[in-house]
Amino acid sequence: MISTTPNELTVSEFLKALNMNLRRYRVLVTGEITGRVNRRGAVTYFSLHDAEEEAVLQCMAFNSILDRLGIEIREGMAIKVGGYPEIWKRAGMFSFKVFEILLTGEGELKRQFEMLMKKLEAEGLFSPEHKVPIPNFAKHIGLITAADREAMNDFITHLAPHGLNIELYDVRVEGARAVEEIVEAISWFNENRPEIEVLVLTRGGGSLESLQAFNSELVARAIFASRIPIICGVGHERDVSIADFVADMRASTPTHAAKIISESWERGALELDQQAERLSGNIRERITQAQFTITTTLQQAHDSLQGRFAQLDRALTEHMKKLMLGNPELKLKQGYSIMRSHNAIIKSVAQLREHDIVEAQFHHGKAKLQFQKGV
Amino acid sequence: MAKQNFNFKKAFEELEKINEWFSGEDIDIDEALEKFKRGTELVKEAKKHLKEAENKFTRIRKELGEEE
Repeated sequence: MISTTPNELTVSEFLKALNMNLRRYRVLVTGEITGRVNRRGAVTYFSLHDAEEEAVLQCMAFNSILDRLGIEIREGMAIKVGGYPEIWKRAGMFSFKVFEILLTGEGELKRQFEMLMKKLEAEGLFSPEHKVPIPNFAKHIGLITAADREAMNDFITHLAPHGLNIELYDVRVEGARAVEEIVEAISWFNENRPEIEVLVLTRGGGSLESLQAFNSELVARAIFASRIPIICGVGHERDVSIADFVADMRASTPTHAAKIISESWERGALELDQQAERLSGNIRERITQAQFTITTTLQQAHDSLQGRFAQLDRALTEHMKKLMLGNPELKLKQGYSIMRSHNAIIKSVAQLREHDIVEAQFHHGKAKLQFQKGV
Repeated sequence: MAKQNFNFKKAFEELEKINEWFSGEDIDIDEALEKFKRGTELVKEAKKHLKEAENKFTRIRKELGEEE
């Protein structure tokens, strides 16, 4: 082991200490690609230079970062690289470790935008069947935007006051860290805030270049993977980003995003009145119905008893009539007589023998008669 | 003050259900009165909530995770 004083270090100790300090230079560097772009193994090497001045920066990036760009970088192309500088210990070489490549120049950006759009569309990231509906009366809202900027204020001031809980996750919306922070914010809410019902990802308007984070593939995939539905409100009405297409709902501006959430509450207030009216209507109707049922039941009982009485009355009259007709008194009055012999009523001549005494009953009085055959 | 834990969404859904229930057949009048009472309570609470509720705004200290 080599003994060292505070200012005396081994090469590797020195480089390590340097690298620790260099990591703090997390910056975006703009330049033009010069020379060949070398892909070796999992890594690609290229150099950036300034067109006006002699200055060159050696860059190193993992291939996956280049692949995410959607288009191939080549000599002469103007780009921005995000990352930090590092000295490669084994060769003592200074290079810039690239974590993000951003295209500059409207033409390239548009090309990249269109290529990524095509790719993600083909994968189904924009399909309506993947869209989660924004819930009605959302109370817990996760806001992902840069703190204290116009977009944040627009959003908050346009939310209807209905006891909503808004949690702000402060992110950079442009620059070297924007993509990383937005992706992190989305997954943070998904992992740590089960009560959040809707996420709002928003920022003010800007040039295609300043909206790059919202056109990044990583952000698009994070939105797509989110369990919580996302409203994306980027820029002014004319600005459209890939994030807008992947989001469950697109708001044209931060204010519009607030209005989408507030709308169900405003509607809820109206519908509440309707429901309240419906409720009193329902109970009134039910009571009237109950009263009607009672009245009808009573009437029916009354009617059916009346009917029964009338029926009984008719039956009794019939019986009376029959009884009257069968009354023997009536027959005697009409001139009929009843003949009896040996205490039995004679219904046939066969019951009698010659000279039998027959008792005859008339309407007035009785008489004994002698039977004589063959009259 | 409206109750903090009052859930407008749930209250609204319950109210809708109650009104749906009324469109059924053979409704018992006692039950109807009970439902009406509950519905009225829900309307009252929901209105109170709409009137008085202020939004709450909090910032998450995302640095927390980084510092740990």
